[in-house]
Amino acid sequence: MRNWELSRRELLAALGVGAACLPLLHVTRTYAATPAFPKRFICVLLTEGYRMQYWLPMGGSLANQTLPASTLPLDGFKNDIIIMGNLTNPKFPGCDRWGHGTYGQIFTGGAVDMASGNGKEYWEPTIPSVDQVVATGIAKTAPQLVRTTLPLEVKVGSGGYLGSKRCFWSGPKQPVTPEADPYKIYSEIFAGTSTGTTPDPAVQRLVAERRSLLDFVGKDLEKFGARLGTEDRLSIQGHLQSIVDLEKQLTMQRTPIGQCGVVFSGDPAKPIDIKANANVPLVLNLQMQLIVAALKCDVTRVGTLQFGDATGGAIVFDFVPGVPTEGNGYQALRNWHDLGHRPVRPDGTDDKKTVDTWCMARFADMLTMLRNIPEGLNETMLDHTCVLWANHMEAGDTHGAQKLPWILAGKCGGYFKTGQCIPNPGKPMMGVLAEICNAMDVPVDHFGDPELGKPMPELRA
Amino acid sequence: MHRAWKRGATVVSLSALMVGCTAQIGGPARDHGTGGSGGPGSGGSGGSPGSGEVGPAVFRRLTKVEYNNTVRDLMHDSSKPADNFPTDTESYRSGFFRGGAISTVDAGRLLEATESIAANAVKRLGDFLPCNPIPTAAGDQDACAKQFITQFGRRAYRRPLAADESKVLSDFYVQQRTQVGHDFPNAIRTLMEAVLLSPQFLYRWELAPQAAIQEGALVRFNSYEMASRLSYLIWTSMPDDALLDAAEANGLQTPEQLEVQARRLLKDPRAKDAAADFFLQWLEVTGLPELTKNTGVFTSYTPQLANSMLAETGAFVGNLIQNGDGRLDTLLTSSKTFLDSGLAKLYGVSGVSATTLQPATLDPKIRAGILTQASFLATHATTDETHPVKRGKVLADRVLCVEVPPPPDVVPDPKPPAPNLSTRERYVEHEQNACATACHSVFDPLGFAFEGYDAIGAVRTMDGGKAVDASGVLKVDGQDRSFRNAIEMVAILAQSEQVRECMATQWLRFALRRHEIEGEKASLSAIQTGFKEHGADIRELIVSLVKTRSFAFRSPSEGEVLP
Repeated sequence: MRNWELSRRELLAALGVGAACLPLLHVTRTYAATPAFPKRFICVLLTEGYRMQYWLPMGGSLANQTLPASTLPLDGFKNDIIIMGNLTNPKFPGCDRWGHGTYGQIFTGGAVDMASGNGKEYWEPTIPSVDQVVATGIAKTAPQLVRTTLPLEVKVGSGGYLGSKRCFWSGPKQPVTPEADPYKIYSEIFAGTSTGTTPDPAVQRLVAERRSLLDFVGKDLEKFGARLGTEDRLSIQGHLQSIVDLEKQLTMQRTPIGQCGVVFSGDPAKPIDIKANANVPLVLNLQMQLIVAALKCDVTRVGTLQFGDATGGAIVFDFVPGVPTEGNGYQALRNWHDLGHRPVRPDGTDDKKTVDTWCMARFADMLTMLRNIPEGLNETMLDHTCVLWANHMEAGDTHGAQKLPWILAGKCGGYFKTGQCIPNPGKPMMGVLAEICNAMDVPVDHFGDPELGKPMPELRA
Repeated sequence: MHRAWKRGATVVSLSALMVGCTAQIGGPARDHGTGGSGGPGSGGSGGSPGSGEVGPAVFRRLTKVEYNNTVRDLMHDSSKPADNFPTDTESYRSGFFRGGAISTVDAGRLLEATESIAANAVKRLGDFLPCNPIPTAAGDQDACAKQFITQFGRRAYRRPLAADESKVLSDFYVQQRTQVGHDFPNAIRTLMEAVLLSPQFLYRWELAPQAAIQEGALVRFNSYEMASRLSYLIWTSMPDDALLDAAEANGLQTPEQLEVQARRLLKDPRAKDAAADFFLQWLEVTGLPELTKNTGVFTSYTPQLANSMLAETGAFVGNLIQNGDGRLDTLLTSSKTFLDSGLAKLYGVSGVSATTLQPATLDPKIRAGILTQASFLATHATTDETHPVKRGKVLADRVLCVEVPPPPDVVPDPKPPAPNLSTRERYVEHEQNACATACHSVFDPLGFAFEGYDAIGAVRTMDGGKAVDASGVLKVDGQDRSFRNAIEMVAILAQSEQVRECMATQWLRFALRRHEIEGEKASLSAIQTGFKEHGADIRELIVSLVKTRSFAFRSPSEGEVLP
């Protein structure tokens, strides 16, 4: 095989642990001691809210109450979660009934670019989202991480406004594109890793080639961007950062998945049609496994997952037992959007409640994955992780842009006071984002807005 | 400065109809400048900055179509590598796309695409090298590489390389040979990758590191920039050697020079590409293959059929521009089109068995022009029903240039489908709702005209157990015009001055990838006049456009450091 016939993915596979940790162009490599079990952050976004009467528990301790029907799948995790209802989103400039439009700014809580979106919703943020703030803070003390974040998705549709498809941003005009194919990510992160082998000279040459290539592009971007206007320069800076990240991914040492104590149930030899609606449950599960594996193997400490987009129109929930394929009068098919607008069928069957319950069961799946990985004496990976399971709407039928239902899970090294429900905190969701930063040892005194984004002490242990 | 062009600016007409709608997208641009017209004739002058303002140039990455076409012309590679790139994003509410930001996942896809392109190219190395035969001696190879950098770089960067740029690429070549250990072909392959990954190739900003041509407060595009502006407008691809040679002679500055080149480019088959690119974006149909249709209802609907629908429209407008009369009324009323077997079945045309598009003539009483083609009708519908609001909104926005505001705060859903209830009846009730009246009284009559076509564009005569009612009243050119169906409505549109003016506006936005600002009214007026005076020939519209000040000048971007 000639060098140029090796694809990037094959190269990554061939690199394995044999790849040298090569010096990088744009990264200052000042290693710090890695704690035994680092803190990790997982951020998940769903859409169309919940049927709140079946979802939101009573206030106070969760220990002595039976969870409502939709949150009942979390019963085994009552001591590990904080359920919040009615968080506000005060910096969203749209109407209360335009909940779809909050998608792009939901994890920033700051000012939006009013020139973006459609004038009514889907504005883009002007500041980085919480995942990026946390990742940037972590990178200062852990530059050895191969990826700053691992952004994944399930069934985010294409087209439309960016603010309806992207919720994670590294800065203004800089959406973070998620990866939809779990096996593509698997092959880039884990495949082909082995120990004790001498690197193939051809592979070494390819590493050198790519280093030189990305080095060239990086310098070219720096020079190119210097001549542009302020806003355009931001685009080039984002492009440049992507090249730096790519260089890091191509050259940094990786740990075999088996050595991390993680099992991946997927079979990359059998590709999945990720666009097929019937595969949504499988792809969702694999993406969650990948995030947990990547965090456990310390590839990154921040994983994000977009499940659907601002309306969830691309996901038809007929794979959930009891939910029909046909829509209930709003859309032809029973997709998330149809479920939101028309949750209850004429015969009284509440499909949305069923789907809400199914989603909470998938959340429980992820928490189970984390809890099944022991870390230290009587502790698990869940104890060292912060999971934000967020929704950018109150409920589909109200289209509520406020009254956000969010769940925090994991104690994050003892930071959070889990086991409680705060049904009506009456505070902006930016307070939760601020607390996540502080829990992840990235100290902030506010998030998104100096006044509205102050931390929420009631979340702390 | 210059913020209005980002929000959407000029309301061309019928703004009075919008009374009652809340929160308009932008409104007229009035937040900067004097908005002078530049005086009679100044809109048609590429030679003088005049007194009016010109907006900034939109900095943008190549769109997917532009990338594919450029790779085709530069690398002789028709594999359409950009098809796997992320979706393009709308450029400042212009209604037309630009390439989006590059995040890490995107950078990975770009790298993989580049590797694939270069790997294919190096198999045909002789086609790219300036030296023949391929040299074997090291000294000859190095000399050949230098020539290659100069020649390939000029085409890829769409301008000559500056001395320091040539040196950096030469150093890169030497690095591949000496440090990486590549042989000559692989060093050239990697050199190609470096050029294709360079921002000079990926972004539309062909300003070499040389002094900008400043005239007053404006910057005049140099001849190389004009070469790219011409080629990406008329071909959606890179300039050819003739354009680059003309640029080298600084021969792309006067309106006369630009007109000569524009007419040459319009005669080239690549002009079909731009026509397809413009009209598919104009009708907002590019996302059709991603849409779901209820195959329980539409058993013949497949992804292949959706692609055929787009191909039909592309071929139709390509033929109009290249082989036809180029006229707006032909665009809107012609019954001649291109069908494959799947489309023929959909349209009820017999005798077409080919799987590739063939010329065909449809029944003019049923199909008339681009708006009765399946691509438009199927895109602006739901999975199994027509959607008069969506169809009407596109017409109002794109054909009539009625500023379409976002919906009011509370939008009632149309009545759910029910037996013995037609789509029109469901939406009529919706239209009569007070909070929706202002907008839907504009959109819905336009959309109702297409009720004779179902959600995938097939003809239907019955809906909800009743005969389809596609009649209505069209508000156009300041008059109420009655029609009985879509065929009669498009005939009215085809003769409308408002539609002609709107078409000119849409092409200017396509060229600029932004809304026109107040100071560019003279440029817009010149295009509209040129279009009207030449029998509404779209090719003449394009010729008029390239001679305007808006095409030849830009204002500096905020914070830009002019070399």
